[in-house]
Amino acid sequence: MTGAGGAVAKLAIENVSKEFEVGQGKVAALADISIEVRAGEHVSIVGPTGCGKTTLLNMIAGFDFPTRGKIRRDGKEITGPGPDRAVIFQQANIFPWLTVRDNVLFAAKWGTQEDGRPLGGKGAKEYEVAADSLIREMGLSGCEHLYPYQISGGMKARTALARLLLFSPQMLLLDEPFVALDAQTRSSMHRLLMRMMKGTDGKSVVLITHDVDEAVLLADTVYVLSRRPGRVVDRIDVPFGFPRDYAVISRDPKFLACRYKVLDRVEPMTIKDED
Amino acid sequence: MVEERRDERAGARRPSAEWSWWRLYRNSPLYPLTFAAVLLLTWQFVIARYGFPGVPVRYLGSPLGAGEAFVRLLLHGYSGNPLWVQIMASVLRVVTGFLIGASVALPLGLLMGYYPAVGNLIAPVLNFLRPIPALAFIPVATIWFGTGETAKIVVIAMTGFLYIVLGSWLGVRSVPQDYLRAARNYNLSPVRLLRLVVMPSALPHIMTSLRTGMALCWAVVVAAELIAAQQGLGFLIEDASTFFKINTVYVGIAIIGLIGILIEFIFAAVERRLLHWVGR
Ligand SMILES: Nc1ncnc2c1ncn2[C@@H]1O[C@H](COP(=O)(O)OP(=O)(O)OP(=O)(O)O)[C@@H](O)[C@H]1O
Ligand SMILES: [Mg+2]
Repeated sequence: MTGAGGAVAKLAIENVSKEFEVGQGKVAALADISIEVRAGEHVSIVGPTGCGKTTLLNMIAGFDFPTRGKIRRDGKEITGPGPDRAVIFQQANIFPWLTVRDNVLFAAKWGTQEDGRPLGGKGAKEYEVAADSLIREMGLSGCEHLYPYQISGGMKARTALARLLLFSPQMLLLDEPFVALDAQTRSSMHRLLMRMMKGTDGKSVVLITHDVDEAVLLADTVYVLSRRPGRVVDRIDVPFGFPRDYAVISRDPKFLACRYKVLDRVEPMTIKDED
Repeated sequence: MVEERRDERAGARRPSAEWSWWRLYRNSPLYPLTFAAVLLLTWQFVIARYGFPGVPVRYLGSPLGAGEAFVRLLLHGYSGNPLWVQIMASVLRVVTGFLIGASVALPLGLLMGYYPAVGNLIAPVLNFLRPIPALAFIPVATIWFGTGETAKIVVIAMTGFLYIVLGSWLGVRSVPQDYLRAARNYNLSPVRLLRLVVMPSALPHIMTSLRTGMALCWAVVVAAELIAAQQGLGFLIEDASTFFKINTVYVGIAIIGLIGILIEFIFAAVERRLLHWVGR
């Protein structure tokens, strides 16, 4: 498989089910999910709304725990959140009271590793230098000292991504990070993400999305979940290396075949409004 | 900002050149004072002259009379003290009480929000006390602490405290979950979490509660001085009224109002600086 590292599972989701207590009853959100993410593998998870995608991501991140089954990272069961699995949430990602630059610096500067060392692992001066070059690379030059209310949605998304990239986590967990963006901005974010991931192998990505094109473009492997309770109904390999150029790859029959395989799985589960 | 929004609501008419005098006036500080001027003129030339149903004319006073009383107060002070001493007596009480109340309330509110066990334990008592008018406690405070400064400052401090503690508690509770999760994701130490995420995120609620708390304290100090004081604006009003010096009473009331506006103004300026990032 291209784009993937060794055969060791970086992240192993083993027969995970999740139920929520709601009033007297229980809601099953996920049923018997098994997914493996290798080091350096990029995984997309698609599925109809409410099928438990965010729930799954929260459990990988360590904010919540499975009702049954286990989630392991490097063989160890996950017991809570940690900077080794950096999350971009569905919303509210950057702090409105900080400038773009301070947002980018935030995690690396103030976060700590498991053993209490600073998250960025460098001196304060070095972060600032690294942050400034990251800001330039992500096309945020000139916005460093603006506040979130003064910048566009695309810039906010880039700021949120830059904040994580600055401390270089081993795994990125992305919950529909680009939904709020227009098509052009979204595809520039795709290019950016692929560029940023290039050459940093060992870094795994779990991306949750509704957008089939996005799922296929950004993944080595796409998992399709069923309606609630979510189970894995299909696993589709996308045998192309990174970075990928959408304009080129989207005309490749092999790529199109992957895309239609995912689409054919997702389509029947979307809620139709004609009946 | 506000101006802009108002124009939007009015359909954002393009400003026309013909009405330039009107526009000049409309944008000058004179415009909002017009209504006040009309009220004062009516009072001076209609009500003070022809009377007001149910009130003897000699008790009505007048704006010009109040102006004269103000000059007299400036020149001769009141009951042996200059006017600024009367004003500062009230201001000092409020500032002292407010600072005491706020400096207990802020940490406690944050603590209550940080540890729900503490919040749920204390909140019912605070929620019970808060709607009780501070005036109801003045007699209690007077019995406990006598008619000196202590009683007044205690009542003011309590008023500010009750409002601010609940506001900062609410502020901490309304920190969005995603901010807290981000902080846990980066493994922030508890102190940094409080300083870098919880406090700034709660700041809008905290500022609102400080502002309202201060306004309430200002209202309470006057009430407290009405009951027992030898100095202060409340004392001035109360004392002047027992001698039917109605114009002097008006001056006292007007000064209270102006200082209230000044307090609002200071808080608004601080908020503009600290909270420019909110709500856009
Ligand atoms: N804390 C909770 N308590 C009770 N039920 C919950 C909770 N969180 C999620 N659920 C339920 O679990 C199901 C899955 O929710 P989840 O947010 O994971 O869906 P999703 O796949 O991310 O949906 P979307 O694509 O709309 O974001 C939903 O039916 C939701 O109502
Ligand atoms: Mg979701």
